[in-house]
Amino acid sequence: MEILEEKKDVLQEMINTGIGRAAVSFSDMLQKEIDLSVPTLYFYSLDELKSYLEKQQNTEYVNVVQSFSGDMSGRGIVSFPLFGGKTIISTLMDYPDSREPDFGTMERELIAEVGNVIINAVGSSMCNMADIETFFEMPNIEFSNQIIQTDVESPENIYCLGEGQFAVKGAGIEGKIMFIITYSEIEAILDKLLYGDI
Amino acid sequence: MMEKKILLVDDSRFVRNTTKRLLIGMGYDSAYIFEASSGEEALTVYEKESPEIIFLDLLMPGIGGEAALKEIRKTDNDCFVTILSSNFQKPVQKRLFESGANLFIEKTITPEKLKEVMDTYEASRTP
Repeated sequence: MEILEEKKDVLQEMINTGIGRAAVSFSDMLQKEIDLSVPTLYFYSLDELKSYLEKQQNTEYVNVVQSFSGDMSGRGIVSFPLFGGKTIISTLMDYPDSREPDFGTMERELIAEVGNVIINAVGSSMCNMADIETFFEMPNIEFSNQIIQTDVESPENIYCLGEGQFAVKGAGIEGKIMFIITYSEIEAILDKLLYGDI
Repeated sequence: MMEKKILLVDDSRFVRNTTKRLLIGMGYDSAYIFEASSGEEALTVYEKESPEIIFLDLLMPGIGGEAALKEIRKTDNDCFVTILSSNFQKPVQKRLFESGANLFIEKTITPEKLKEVMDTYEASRTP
C-alpha cells in the first residue's frame, strides 16, 4: 500500500504536535524541562508492527499501555526505564530515590497516571487537530510483556507508529512515547484535512 | 483559613494529594477538603458533604466523571464543578459544558491553574 507523502506529512505534523503537547504536560508534572527528539513515523503491516514491538521489549523497562477507539483507534505506549520510572515517582512524591526494581501498588498507580496524562495529551491534541473524537480506556502497566494484543488487530490493516524519545533534563531519565494508529481508519480524516469535504 | 467545602475526585492519589497540598498552600482549610477515588464514591461524598466546589477527573474505574457530573446536576446547579483531565478533546469539553461543568482544566494541575479555578469560582459568586 502506497501512502502519499502529503498524507505522511499531515500525520507527522499531528504526531509532532501531540508529542510536543504531551511533553508540556509531563514537564508541568515533574517541574523539569523535557528534551524531545523529532518523532519518527513508521508504517507497518501487523507482522512488521509485532516484530518491531517485540524488539522493543526489555525487562529493564516499565510500559504504560492505553488503548483508544472511536474515530481513531489504536494504543499509546509510554516506556520508562525501570529505575527512571522509580526516579519519576520519587520526584513526584518528593521522597528519596529507590533502587528497588519492584513497583508497589502506589507506585504502579502513579506511573499509570503519568502515562495516562502523556498518552491522553498526544491523542487529544491529534483529535483536536482533525476535529474527531476518540475514547480512552484505563491505562495498564506492563513490565516487558506483550505490549500489543494481536487479537484485536487485523492483518488487513496498515498501522502508523509515531515514536518520540524524551529525556528529563538533569534527572538522567530517558524514555519513549509510541503512538500506534490504525491507518485505514484515519486515511479519510487525512483526506478531509488535506482536501476538505469532497 | 478559608472554610470552603471542596471535593477532589480522582483515582490517582498523586493528583488528589497534589491538588490538596496546593489548596492548603493557598489558605484553604484541609478539614474542609474531601476526597473520592471514583465516580460512585464522589456521589456518596457529595450527598454527605454538599461541597461548594468539585474537582472531577473523567477516566476512573466504575462510572467516570462525566456520568457523576450528570448525576450531580440532576439536583444541583449551584455546585461549581471543574473538570480536571488530560483528555482535552474539543467534543469531550463541549459535552461536559453541556452537562453542566463550569470549567475545564488540563492536567497537570499547577498553582496558576488552581488560582484560575478559585478566581473563576469567586467571580461566579459575585452578584
